[in-house]
Amino acid sequence: MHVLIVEDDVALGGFLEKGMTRDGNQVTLVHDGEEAISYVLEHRPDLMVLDLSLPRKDGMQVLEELCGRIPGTSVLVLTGRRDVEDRVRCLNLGADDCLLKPFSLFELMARCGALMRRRDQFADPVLRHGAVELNRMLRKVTCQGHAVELTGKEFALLEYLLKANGRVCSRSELLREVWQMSPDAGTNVVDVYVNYLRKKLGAAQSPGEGMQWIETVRGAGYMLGLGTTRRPMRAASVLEGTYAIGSAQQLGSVGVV
Amino acid sequence: MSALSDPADGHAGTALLVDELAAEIAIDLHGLCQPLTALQCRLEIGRMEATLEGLDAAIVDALRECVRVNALVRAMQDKVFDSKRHEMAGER
Repeated sequence: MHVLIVEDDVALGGFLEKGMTRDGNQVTLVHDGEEAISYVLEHRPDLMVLDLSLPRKDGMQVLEELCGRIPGTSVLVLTGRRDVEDRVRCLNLGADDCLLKPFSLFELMARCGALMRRRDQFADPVLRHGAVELNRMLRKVTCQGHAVELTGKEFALLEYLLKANGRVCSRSELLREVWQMSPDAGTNVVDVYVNYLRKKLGAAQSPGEGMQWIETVRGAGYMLGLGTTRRPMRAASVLEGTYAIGSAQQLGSVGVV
Repeated sequence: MSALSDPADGHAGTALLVDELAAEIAIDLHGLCQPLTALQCRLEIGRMEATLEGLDAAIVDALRECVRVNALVRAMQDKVFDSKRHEMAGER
């Protein structure tokens, strides 16, 4: 999942970033409230881990500004304040959970996982990206309205890429999340299955269309793109710019509500 | 009498001292949460990594956090000590 950590303590923020990244998340760390607001509005992460004591707008002001504007982003508040009133106020301003400092990283990760599970329960069962639709309830996939027959692993891989919502997924991430294998397993199973998926999605299109929905980002991994290019993209252009996310948004393809 | 005695004992000066001390210690305790959380999280990451290098790096970072914890605890000790000294001077 895509996590934004907002923590002004450089050491603590760095450790949270390291731990959450190790847990398989795509993590961004910012150190003040204003930066947090602009990042959330631009990138819409799945989860924001928000400290209350921040420079340039504190956590409470961040919640007030974002209240009701980010339905796709869950918020977990970190606080060193024991007052119940503060925690109640945070929850009323849209936070989904509060964790009192000092805390264990394991508890933080478990709470983040629980928030994501709860969010998934109420999510739209249909994931869309351009002409590709995946119905998680009926376990059906269509491309331009044509049914695509997928095996269990192909379905799981496509579902993961759709949930990433235009974000680049590395081979090791896909190996860990879809196959539950170690990134050091030394297998090309991800590339093989991406090829299977490309062929099946390609076969479901109208003759002559030849769109490629799964793009290779050289040196970084795979992502769902515009569905118009067959050329692999440079990793740098995706990591530096907004193309990866922009492409998904231009299509109006919000993966998970 | 301790610096943290009941303010309802009629000593207005002591009550004020206790209130001030409590407020200051509350701020310091809040500050202490940062390095303590950092310390715990860093050691847990070391455990997750479970390699000699990972554990070694975790210990180095954790010791740095211990320095922050020690400094804050020492500052709190000084405040309590000063408060007691002022109280004793007032009683004399």
